[in-house]
Amino acid sequence: MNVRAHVSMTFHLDKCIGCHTCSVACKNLWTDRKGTEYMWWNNVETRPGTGYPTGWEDQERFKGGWVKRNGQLKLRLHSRARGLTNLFYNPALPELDDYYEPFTFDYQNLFTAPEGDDQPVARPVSMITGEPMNINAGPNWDDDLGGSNLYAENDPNWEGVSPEIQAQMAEIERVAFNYMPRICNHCLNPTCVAACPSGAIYKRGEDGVVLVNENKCKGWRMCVAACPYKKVYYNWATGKSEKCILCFPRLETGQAPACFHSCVGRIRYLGAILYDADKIATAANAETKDLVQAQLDAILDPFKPDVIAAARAGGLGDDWIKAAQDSPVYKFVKVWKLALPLHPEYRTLAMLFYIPPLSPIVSTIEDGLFKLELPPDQVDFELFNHLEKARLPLEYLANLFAAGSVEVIKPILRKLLAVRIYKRRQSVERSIDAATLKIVEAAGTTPEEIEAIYRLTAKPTLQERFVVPPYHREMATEVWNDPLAHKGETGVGFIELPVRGD
Amino acid sequence: MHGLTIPAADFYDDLRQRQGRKLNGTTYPSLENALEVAEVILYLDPVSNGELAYRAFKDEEKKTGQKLTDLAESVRDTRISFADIVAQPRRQLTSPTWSAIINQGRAYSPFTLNVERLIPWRTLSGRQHFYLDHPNYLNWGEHLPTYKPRPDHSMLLETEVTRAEAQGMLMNYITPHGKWSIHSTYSDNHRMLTLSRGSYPIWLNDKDAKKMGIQDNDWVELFNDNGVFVQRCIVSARIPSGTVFVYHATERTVSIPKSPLRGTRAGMNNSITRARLKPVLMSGGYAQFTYAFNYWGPVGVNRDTFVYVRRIEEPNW
Ligand code: SF4
Ligand code: SF4
Repeated sequence: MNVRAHVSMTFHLDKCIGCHTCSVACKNLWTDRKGTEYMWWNNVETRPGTGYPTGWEDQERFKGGWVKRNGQLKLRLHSRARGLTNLFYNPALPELDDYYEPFTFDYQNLFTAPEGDDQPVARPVSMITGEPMNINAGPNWDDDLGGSNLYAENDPNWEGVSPEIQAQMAEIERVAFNYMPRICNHCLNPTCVAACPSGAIYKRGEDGVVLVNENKCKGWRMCVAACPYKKVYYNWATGKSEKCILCFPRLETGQAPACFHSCVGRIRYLGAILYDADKIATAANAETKDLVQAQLDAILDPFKPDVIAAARAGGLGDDWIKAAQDSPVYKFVKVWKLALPLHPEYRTLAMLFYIPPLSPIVSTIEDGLFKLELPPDQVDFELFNHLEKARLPLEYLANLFAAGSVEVIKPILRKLLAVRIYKRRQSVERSIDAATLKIVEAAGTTPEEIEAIYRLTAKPTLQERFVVPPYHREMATEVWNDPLAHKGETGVGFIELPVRGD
Repeated sequence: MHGLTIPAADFYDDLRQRQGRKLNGTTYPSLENALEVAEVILYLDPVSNGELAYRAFKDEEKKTGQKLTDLAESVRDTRISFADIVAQPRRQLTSPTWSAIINQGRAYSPFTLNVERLIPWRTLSGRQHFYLDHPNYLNWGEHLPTYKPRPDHSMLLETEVTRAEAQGMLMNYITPHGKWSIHSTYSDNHRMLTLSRGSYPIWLNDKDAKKMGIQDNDWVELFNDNGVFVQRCIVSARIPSGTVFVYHATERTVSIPKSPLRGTRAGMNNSITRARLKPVLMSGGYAQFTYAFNYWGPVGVNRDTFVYVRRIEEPNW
């Protein structure tokens, strides 16, 4: 057992309101510079839809992630040898049009327009050419099912959903959508790292954050193509690649990442988990249907004495072990088994997890009629027993979060429904009847677990949602500098101290 | 506000001292520049002056017979000045001029004062009631909220003249609150326009759009007797057929081209609607139907109408 710590996030999709506050916070903090105009390290997608960059899940085109060939994992992008011979040729790279041409507006014209008999206006202009432009793409172009016949209908996750249901989903009485925020998944088996010819990308030992070393990056952009989530971006001004850094400077000072901190729906949970690095290869190599379980198997129980012993032996401090025990991510992912990695079939072992959305629920169509009024004894149980009637089709969610396996999604939705039915019963009827308890049991849970899930879902404190131990950066500083001298110098902003006589 | 009388003469005197200005021999608090105006507002408002919050509750106690001053007891010393809110955002204080209890970091939730501290609702019965027995309401059939069918477009007389030049489809136009802004919220900034479609698009149902030969992101012109609106459109299955909508309170400064039909700069979302006074809102002098600025009075009903919708080629700027 080789125990390591990882700082991971869980997104509770039922709580996301699609406000994009997270995207704005991230953009303002990190990508409001020359060369980063089109980058959104954090973006929020309407699903069904094609996301940003548009159609990023189409790996036939973008060649991201790993594929299993003859029992071995290979980059879908190219073999190692081909990577070197094709260093200057990378056809799988997304182009600017796959993202969007960044635009601004000629606001100055509002002040400088010559006098005339019509009101002046700020026209859209390209941030690249400075010329007037027609805007035909953006980082959130299919928001709220905009252009649904072009985008939502072409969402690759419809695969396996019957054409009748797909057609119904395009009818106003039946449409449903949810929001899905995305950042870099800080994968355990990242293709961005594997594809880099310069060895510039690395996964930090202490918390698993995947970073690009800007000094080493030579701008080959293999990572951009190889990341199946399209979460590495090329900065045209510096000629280097950039990506989400999980706000590590904030983490190291005990603050939540900006996207987390600003989240209006409070859908984000951040915490440490312990995993067994020896199990990475097995987990990434598992049969497609076993991928989720194999990844869960690599996540360790931080209460087990042998795990604790191995963690200590590996150099992990007790505060990290304690943080792993209190981690909301551990609870959602491993204890309650409610959260899943996005597209596990990419085999990068994404380390951010999603609780699939349940809303909007309960609507049945019978004899072509919309039926909400069921006999009172059936209302609660209708959907529980007929998940195939859920508005967001099971197969669709399975394609997003379970490599197509409905059997992985089903127990999660049933448990989430059981929580809802139980808590509703409790607050409306002020008592729990036998039928409800039967549902609780059928969902494989207990009233105690339901209360705990409810508490962390509906009214957690910040301290319950954000559990990250101290990073002890002062000790790292001590190795090469006197902490007091260092403290006095930091405000001056030198990254490398000037040396006298140089 | 809310019929409360809050004695504030001492604070008024303070202001005369602090930022006095002489006029015809008398000293008044100066309202000469924006900063001074802001200070006056903050100093005389119970949500930023704890003593006034306390006095307001005192007055409310007299009216309701409920114990209420405890809600402001601990903040009687608090004064939030303009410099304070420049330094960092501050939480405002609980006050009966609003309806929520926001003490101890509690989020604003309307009417918690009424529900939890038994301040009667400001209606004739002191409760929430839907039934309005005012004769005007009875005469207009508005005494209970009931379903009313969509009026016929000819009744509105807003498409009569345009009918002669009619092109495209006649559709119901509505202007709901936006996703990222309501009313005059500043929304034409670079960030939010980038996260939407870089303009104030016209939403259309996909099947309606098909009938008119309109595709997603095409230019569309909406017009009637009142005016004209030109924008790109979003085609979506989530819009009901027969309806066209534009999120309301669009600016007229960004991305608005000239109207091919009228030759001049196209308008904003309200250019094609017209304010109509709702007659029942002019009834007054009876219980809660009592005029108060920004509370009760006739409003312009200017959100819906009928428009002709047509596809256009790239317009001029
Ligand atoms: S999601 Fe992040 S860690 Fe995973 S492959 Fe992409 S850039 Fe690398
Ligand atoms: S800030 Fe939170 S609620 Fe808003 S879009 Fe982002 S993740 Fe969703």
